[in-house]
Amino acid sequence: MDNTILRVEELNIVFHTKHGHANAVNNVSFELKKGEKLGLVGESGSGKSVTSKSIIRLLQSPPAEITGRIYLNDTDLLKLPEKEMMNYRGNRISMIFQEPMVSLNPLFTIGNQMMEVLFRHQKISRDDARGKVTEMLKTVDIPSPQTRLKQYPFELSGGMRQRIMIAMSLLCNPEILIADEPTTALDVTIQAQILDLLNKLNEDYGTSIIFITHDLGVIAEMVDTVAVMYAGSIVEKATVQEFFSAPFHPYAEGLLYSIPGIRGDTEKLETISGSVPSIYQLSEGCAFHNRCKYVCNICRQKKPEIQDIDGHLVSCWKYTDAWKGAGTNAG
Amino acid sequence: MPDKSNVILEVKHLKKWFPVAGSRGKKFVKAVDDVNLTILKGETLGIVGESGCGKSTFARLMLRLLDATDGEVLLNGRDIMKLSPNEMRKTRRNIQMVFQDPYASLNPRMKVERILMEPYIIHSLCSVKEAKIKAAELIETVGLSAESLKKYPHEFSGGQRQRICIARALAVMPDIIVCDECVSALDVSIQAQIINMLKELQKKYGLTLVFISHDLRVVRHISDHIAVMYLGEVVEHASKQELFENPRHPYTQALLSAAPATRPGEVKKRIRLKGELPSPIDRPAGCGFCTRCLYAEENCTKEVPGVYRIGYGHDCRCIKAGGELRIL
Amino acid sequence: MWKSLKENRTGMAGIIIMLIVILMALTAALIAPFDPAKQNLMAKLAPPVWSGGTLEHILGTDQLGRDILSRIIYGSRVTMLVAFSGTIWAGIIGITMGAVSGYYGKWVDAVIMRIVDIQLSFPFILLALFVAAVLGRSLTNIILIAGISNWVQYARLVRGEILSVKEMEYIEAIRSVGGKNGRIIMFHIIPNVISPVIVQATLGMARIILMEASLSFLGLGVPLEIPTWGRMLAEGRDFMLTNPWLAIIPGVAITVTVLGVNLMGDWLRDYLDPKLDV
Repeated sequence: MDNTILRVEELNIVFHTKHGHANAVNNVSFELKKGEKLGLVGESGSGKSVTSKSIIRLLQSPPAEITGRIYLNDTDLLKLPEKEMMNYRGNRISMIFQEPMVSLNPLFTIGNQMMEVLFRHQKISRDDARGKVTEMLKTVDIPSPQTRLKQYPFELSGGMRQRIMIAMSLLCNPEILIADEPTTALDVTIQAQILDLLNKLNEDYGTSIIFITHDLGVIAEMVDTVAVMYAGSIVEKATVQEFFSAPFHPYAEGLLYSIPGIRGDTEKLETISGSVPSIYQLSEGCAFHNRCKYVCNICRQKKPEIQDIDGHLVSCWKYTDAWKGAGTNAG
Repeated sequence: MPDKSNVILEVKHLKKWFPVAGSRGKKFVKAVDDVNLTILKGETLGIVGESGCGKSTFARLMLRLLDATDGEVLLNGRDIMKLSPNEMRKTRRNIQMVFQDPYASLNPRMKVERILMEPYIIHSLCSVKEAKIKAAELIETVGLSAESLKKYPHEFSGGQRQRICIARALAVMPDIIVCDECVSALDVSIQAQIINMLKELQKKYGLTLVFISHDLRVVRHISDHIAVMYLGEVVEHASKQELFENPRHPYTQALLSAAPATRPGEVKKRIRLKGELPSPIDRPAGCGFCTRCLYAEENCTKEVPGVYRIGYGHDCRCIKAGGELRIL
Repeated sequence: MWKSLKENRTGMAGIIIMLIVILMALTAALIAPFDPAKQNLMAKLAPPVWSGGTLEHILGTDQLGRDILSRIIYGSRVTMLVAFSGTIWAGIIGITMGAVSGYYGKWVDAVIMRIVDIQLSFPFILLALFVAAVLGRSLTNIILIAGISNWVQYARLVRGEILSVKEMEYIEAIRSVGGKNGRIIMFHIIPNVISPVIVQATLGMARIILMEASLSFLGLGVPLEIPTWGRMLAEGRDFMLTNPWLAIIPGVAITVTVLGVNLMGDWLRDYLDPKLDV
């Protein structure tokens, strides 16, 4: 509780659409310490993006119905009036997105857009603002920063734009940076640079980072803690070392071992049979039961509670006495 | 040397230059520039490279979805660039492609059955009734149920759609299937399913696969040989093992070092490349990589390096990599 | 589809209006109480039933004693005929031109688009005058004018749609399987661009109806014997102060029909488009 800066408690997000009620996020709770890097991992439909957007309150509500509490230090962000929340965005919590090609306004220069962030949150003169922005561009390894200030987004490559997004998000020295799949759209060599940059900034500035991705292979060198999401719930949370040496949850295990090369050269890749259930129709039992190698009766009937095994959290019946033997779903 | 009789596709000095609009024939986007490759029957060739390297253009040239500016593509000994439209149409049965975007590669207005029947109808391979039966067989081969036949593409997930695309490619029993980033848009666990399926199908039908991707891990898993592309050229070509154990081209080395770590705490020594990818309109004189290469010297900026043979089946386009200059 | 209609009241209304008008046109001979050309000078300028007229002529009679209701009913035939034929004609020319232009591109595209530009800058009245003067006034010529002045929307629309559909990977896929251009256009491109065209057609029909009315109003339309709403409107012009219903009734008929077409077109657009979106 000492250096915990973010506490998400019992977050539930339901979307009310004409097709029914979509349970996008189900009873999600987690904590983030100061300076910690948390990896939020999940595939399409896992709810990871929706969760992160709710922290910075970028979800339209309606159609989203958000319940629960999100504490930044001692303030419940979900209860803040929009005007106050606007003071938090870009200032105390920042977010960078997946598509660097469209995250910047094509009509304004880089300098213009970056200084706008400063003017919004701080009383600062134009010259000082320019100075700070130039400094920040240097910090994110953008060559010839003065020239960049006058350039427009279309003049820059994807990797550069992503760096500028990162620079923009750090201008006010936020406590938390949410990075939503920031490298998925970038080439491998550029990805490596961006990841190194994020690590460096975390060390230098102490910014906590929530790193969202579907690619477990990217987070091994990036995060301190891993939280895996499936069908709107967190199914496992552990330090990155513990997770990679032995994932507990069957889904996390399947996900990790389906990465080519993770277990050396194999003939066949591990796969998870079946597909993600529709968020309009979640079952009574564990959301993963119809694809799980280890399923048994209780998995089909009740949702598992979170087990804490020496700080390694997992939501799975297999780690309780109630579990009886391996299941009938082929792996 | 690879056995000549076993070569199924040979690419010689292949060039594709797109004229820049408004430059009146003076400026070109050199998307593919002097590519030379040999593909053996039954093998899996991985082509890896980042954006702008020309791999997608190359894929389309292999299928003659684009005409080459220069060079030859010899499929079973015949240059497909020189075939008449009718001959080309028949030859298309030998090489098929699975595309990247599962959401754009199926006609949203056609039922799956019709999509799968179409290759048979186009080539008049059998009657409509027989085509229906074949379609049903195909859909099962790729692991989807018979009910799928009556549905429209938008009723399926990305992974399922790729299966349908693979089924369509298989319909004409091609010798070669080119996969152009066909798993890149899929979730990791679905990727694994598709990759496994491709390998099984390869074994079952004796297919030759050309697997194009920017993801080194996937390419490593699936390929026998790998070709690395940069700015329209193949800068290195070797067997999988050789490429990963003994990469000789500086770009290949940088690419391999950039791959994310698979173990936490694994210290990766990253080779940091200088600068950015040059525009394919303004290729640097000499070696395409010289503006970013850590080992570049004066000779590198003067001439485009030839292809040097490093070892058995291992070629590299770098004057500093050693090996013998090959005359192609 | 019914569900969509039930939810969308205006669309439902539009379709009902259209059905009534079409039915009227088809059964004109059966339901019209009088011969629309039969003059009865004894009963001329009789007011409609709500203004003191008799039930014999519910909507009254015109200056030559012809029953207005019958003329309205028969007039719907011309209206519907011109509207449908004109639209189909314009559609065929437009879709073909647009398809060729969009698919083959380059100089074909340039030439066709210049023709489109020329066509658009040409006032259609002038065109109508030209055709009327040179070819004479007949029903066929009206349909011809309708076709010629309206194909342009379809061409542009189809060309635009094709330009985007052409680049889709499923087109490349069929080409790679060995499909010829003809097959690609027929089975893969047209079905995917037809939706907005259908919507455009319903709206275009409205335009044609108004166009026919205007031409008849100006005296350029179909031969005098055939009753049309536009002509009725024109003839009623002279009597606006004394017997306003002569002009108002056909005017209302035109307005309601065009409204019906537009409402149906709106609904159709909403119904068809989301289905295209995956």
